[in-house]
Amino acid sequence: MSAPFRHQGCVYGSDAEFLAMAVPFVEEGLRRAEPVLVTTTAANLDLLHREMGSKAAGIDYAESAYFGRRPPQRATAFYRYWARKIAQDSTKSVRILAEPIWTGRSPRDVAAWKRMEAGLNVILADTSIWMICPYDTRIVPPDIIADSRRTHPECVVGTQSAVSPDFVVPELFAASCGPAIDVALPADPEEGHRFDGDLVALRRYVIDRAARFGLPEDRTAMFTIAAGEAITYLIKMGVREATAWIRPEAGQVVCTLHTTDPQQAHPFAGFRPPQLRERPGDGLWLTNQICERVTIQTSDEACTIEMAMPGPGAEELLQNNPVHPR
Amino acid sequence: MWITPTTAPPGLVVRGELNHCAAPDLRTALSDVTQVTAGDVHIDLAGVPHLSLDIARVLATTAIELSTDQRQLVVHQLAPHLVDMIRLLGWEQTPGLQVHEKSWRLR
Repeated sequence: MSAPFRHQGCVYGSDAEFLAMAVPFVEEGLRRAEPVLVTTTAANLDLLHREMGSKAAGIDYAESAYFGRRPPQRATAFYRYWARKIAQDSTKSVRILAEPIWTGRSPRDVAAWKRMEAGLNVILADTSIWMICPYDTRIVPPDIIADSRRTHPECVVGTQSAVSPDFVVPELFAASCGPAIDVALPADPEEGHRFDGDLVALRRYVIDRAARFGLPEDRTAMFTIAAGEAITYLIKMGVREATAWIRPEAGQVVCTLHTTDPQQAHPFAGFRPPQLRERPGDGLWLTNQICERVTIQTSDEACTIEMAMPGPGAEELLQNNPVHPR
Repeated sequence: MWITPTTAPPGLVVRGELNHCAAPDLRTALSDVTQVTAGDVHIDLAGVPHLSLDIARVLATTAIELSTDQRQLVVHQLAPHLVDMIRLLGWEQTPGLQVHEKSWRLR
């Protein structure tokens, strides 16, 4: 029988402290023939590979910046790594050393990544992953270091682990990250769309507005899927009416779905890839994968889902298109 | 949603937007075809601009059931963004599922 999910934080302040935690963790995994994934900075990957020499050949590795660009992709990457490995041997634990990237993030991004760190305790609860998340005090701000002790049930120093006395129930931590959406609805009702159960009309609204704001056709089509799954999530929770509003904002095209039907959306819904057996919030996973940002805010009075698609100027998405030589 | 059974090839032609509430009817229609046909089952989705996760799940589940008899569910003319959706889900390699993409415009 495989071990339960373990989620530990490791606050370190030097290369030596990083290696004192990482090397024994990885070596023990390899000795037990367990899958070991290290996803960290390029500098730490280089450090670990040099330290371990030929033994490093058994490590699966990825630069954190490219292993899940945003929290939903990151959580999915962990889950899919685990699922692939236990398909080969379900009795094994799967070790993951997972260092998040904090440098250069906006306050909203930082909140989203902190929420994900809390959410992993729920999202991966039924896996046999043993995950250590390193936090480098040389580059990570003190508030993020402090929150690492609230989002990880245990803390590790070297090979010693201890229960974190600061750990907070993940759902409470997510709520404490504060309201993420400044709920705004159109001043002119004609700019919005009143959803009353007609999914076709909602998607038509998405197509018309996205085209008006310059989204290419393929991105618009994906936006209809994202919005469709978000409203379906609300419908399945019992929502009958909602307001939709799409507008350009900070280079993105943003869709807000707002309902005053009181609902409590789960803060970590939509982080696990759907399986053939339906789970609540499955469809939001698609919304999360398609959109650049998805924020869900619930209260006793209202529920709001805000989805942002990369706007027409998102050059990153155009880089895969072929450019013919002149 | 409009469903029309076909005999050559055995299967369905489906038109319209396929929302979550259409999943039970599609499931029943596919099950009916599966039972009266010995070989592969074909479904033409050329007239489908949108399908939900629940519909994708019906397609994948049906394909897996057919694969146990070495049969396939062959999906024809699926819009490119819906093919992308199936790929995002990681379901393009589902046993028994064969997907053919159509060239398609949103409007």
